[in-house]
Amino acid sequence: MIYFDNGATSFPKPRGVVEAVHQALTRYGANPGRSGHDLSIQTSAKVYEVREAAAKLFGVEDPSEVVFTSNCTHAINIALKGLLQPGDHVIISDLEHNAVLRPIHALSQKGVEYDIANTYGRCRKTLDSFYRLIRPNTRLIACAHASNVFGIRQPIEELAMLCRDKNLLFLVDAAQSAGVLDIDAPCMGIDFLCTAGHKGLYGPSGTGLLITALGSSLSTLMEGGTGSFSANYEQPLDMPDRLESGTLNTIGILGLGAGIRFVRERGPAQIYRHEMRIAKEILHHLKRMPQIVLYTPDFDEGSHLPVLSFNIRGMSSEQVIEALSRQGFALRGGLHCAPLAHKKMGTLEQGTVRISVGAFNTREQALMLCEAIKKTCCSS
Amino acid sequence: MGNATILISSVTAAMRAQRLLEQRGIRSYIRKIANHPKLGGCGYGLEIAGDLTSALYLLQAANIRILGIL
Repeated sequence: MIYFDNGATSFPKPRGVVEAVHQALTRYGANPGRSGHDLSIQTSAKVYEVREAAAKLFGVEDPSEVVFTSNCTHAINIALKGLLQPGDHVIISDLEHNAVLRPIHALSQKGVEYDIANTYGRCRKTLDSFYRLIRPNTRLIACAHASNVFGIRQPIEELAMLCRDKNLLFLVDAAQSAGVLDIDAPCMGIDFLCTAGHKGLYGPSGTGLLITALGSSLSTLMEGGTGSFSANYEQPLDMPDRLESGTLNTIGILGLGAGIRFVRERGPAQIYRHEMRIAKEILHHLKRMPQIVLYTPDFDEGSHLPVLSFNIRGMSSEQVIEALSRQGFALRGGLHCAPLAHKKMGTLEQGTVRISVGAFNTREQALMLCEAIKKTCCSS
Repeated sequence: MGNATILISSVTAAMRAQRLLEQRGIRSYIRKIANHPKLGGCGYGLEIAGDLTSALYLLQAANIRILGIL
């Protein structure tokens, strides 16, 4: 099976991740931050190393600002539900994943208001669109770094400046961009950086990160054991304990640490260039197939991530996925949990076939995929 | 008399403190402290194998919350 579904989760994982997971299961089996025996302290030290590595990757000085979550959705929920109060207003983009849309919509049932900004890529028009929706009670802009369906990047740096200028907080859903784009959260003015650990950071499933200096001020989504202030009935204010109740996913976290090492060794910029070369090669071939419908024909470095969507005329996206699966290719079809993005692009009914490139994909695989798509077109 | 132990809330803060002291040449050991009133229950301590005054100064300068000294 040739895998082009890295937007859902990256596969294969680097060898170091497999080894780290094995080591976590066989060597660092104690509960970190709970006991005082050597193995617990050693396990805590390994977990802390991952916190340091994540902090460094995202430009954060204090590793206590790194919260381990079970995925990006979890991180977004902690931030949104911990921050927003009835009467607050939020602006999101028209490309958001349900990870942002659904918690915001759920909060709107409790008195939080929201608007959806039309976006046009990394340009002034997008910025103006957000600007026009700002109200006196606007508290937050929450925006995906890039669309998980169409790879379209948002003007994150400019939106951060707008937030600073208007005294708003800024949340970035970096599920698709972390590990592919350089992100320095404090420098870029991101108050809440949310990401998956199992996509571009190459960790195991069940890992995610929330990076924030504002953790102590958030209400908690979950309370429970933290190994600290254990006689107190109230959840501690200290970070990351405030937002990390219950036993940590040590196995996932140590695997994530190895994934972050892999990314840092190669460098996000190099990974991005490699993946974009492959994505552009695929696009070049798809453009020459008359049955193919493309949604991002001007796909380019700087404006897109290596994620692209297409359809074949006369076939549903799921039929295409099945046909490609029979030929040995793993892609995703359907709505990709992003109804706003599909509504924007007119694909809410049909969905799309998504190609999401990873660090281990090769040009040869891309050419084989294009041949398989061509064959599928001919059979339609 | 044994080494002094600086009481710190969590294992993450203790790890951060230990790293910081290491960088300044002060060795320390992380110990679990069970149910101490200054910790509001269980927490962690940093046993200092070096100059306590310097260690306290460094940790305070790094905004690491010190809850007491044993």
